Amino acid sequence: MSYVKRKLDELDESQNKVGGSEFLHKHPYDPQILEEIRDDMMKPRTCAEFMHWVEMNPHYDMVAEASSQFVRGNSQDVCFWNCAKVETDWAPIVKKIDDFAKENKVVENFDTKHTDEWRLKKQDKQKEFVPFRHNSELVNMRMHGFKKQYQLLEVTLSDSFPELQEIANLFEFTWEKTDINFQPPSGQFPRHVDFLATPLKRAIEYDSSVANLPYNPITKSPEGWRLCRILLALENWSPGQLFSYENYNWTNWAQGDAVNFNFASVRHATSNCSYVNRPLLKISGFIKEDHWLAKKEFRRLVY
Amino acid sequence: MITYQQVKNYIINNIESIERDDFYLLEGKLVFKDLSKAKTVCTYFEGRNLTVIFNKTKIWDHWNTEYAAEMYFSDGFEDFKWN
Repeated sequence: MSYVKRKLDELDESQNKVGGSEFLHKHPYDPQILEEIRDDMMKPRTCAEFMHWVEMNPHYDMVAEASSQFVRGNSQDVCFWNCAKVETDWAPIVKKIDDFAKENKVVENFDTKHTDEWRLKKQDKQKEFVPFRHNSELVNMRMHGFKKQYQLLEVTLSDSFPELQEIANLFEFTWEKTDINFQPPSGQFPRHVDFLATPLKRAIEYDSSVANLPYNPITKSPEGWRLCRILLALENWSPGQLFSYENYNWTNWAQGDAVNFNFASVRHATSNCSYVNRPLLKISGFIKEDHWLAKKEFRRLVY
Repeated sequence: MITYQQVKNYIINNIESIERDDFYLLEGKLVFKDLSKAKTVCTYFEGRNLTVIFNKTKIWDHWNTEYAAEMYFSDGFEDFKWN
């Protein structure tokens, strides 16, 4: 099966697969349909074939939810765990983020409208990136009243925060992409399962050796690799800032704390019920199975 | 992580009266169509030192099927030999 490369504008047009909220499945999703999707997902496919299967799936908006293998009873440390502490002079970095947010009215204009708000800066080099966002999922969230989620301040695709890109580089990802997940007060992102489809699609489209690797539906990664997403606290936790991973909560974080989590299966949700902004650095990409992150080792990193 | 796939395979291979389509997964919980089968599974694991939290399932209008009960695990789950 050949993989057809999509261009940015084409993909933007096609992201909402169901074409309107009236065709969306409702939460909580029908367990039987979830099971059918999950069973189908387990069939052997290459990564390219798998992404094609996702995009053509009649239950496209349910695929991420169906991909979870999480059963309650698993402990907190298989859901999320501390993976690193980054030591640096955070004050000038935090000031820069604050200034950037003020300049771009990130907080004042915090009423998300699917895609516009996610990319504060459009740059030519973004043409090489194929954003893959379950817009149908975002439509679904809005149907349930979650209209203010978070703002994504780009790091990898902008020249605004080179020091944060260098910090991200300390984690030694391949096909890496980093953003600031900036959640102003009142932001809520309801529970969901990640897919990390953006780095996967990008690797598939630019590296045929990845495209032709078998896809592992449990790790949701190419065989031999692990897709990975870590979150790095850019400011200390404030009361009212909530971050749940299934039936557990990450809280009381300190600037520089980084957590890894079982992205493939663990539902997570965030809410900022404090009165201060909540910036997290979100680093996503590929690691090999012998990478220290894949082995759940903890590192103290200095920048 | 103990996966749903492991749990599902264990149950249908080790509890004689339970078949693949008797239960599904929803938000980390096992949801059963038939109350007596749900009780059978619950009793089986409680007899093997697992703590099982057992509830009636909320029925939603947009579901194609009605479910009688749901359950999830707590103590003993990760120590159990699922394979």
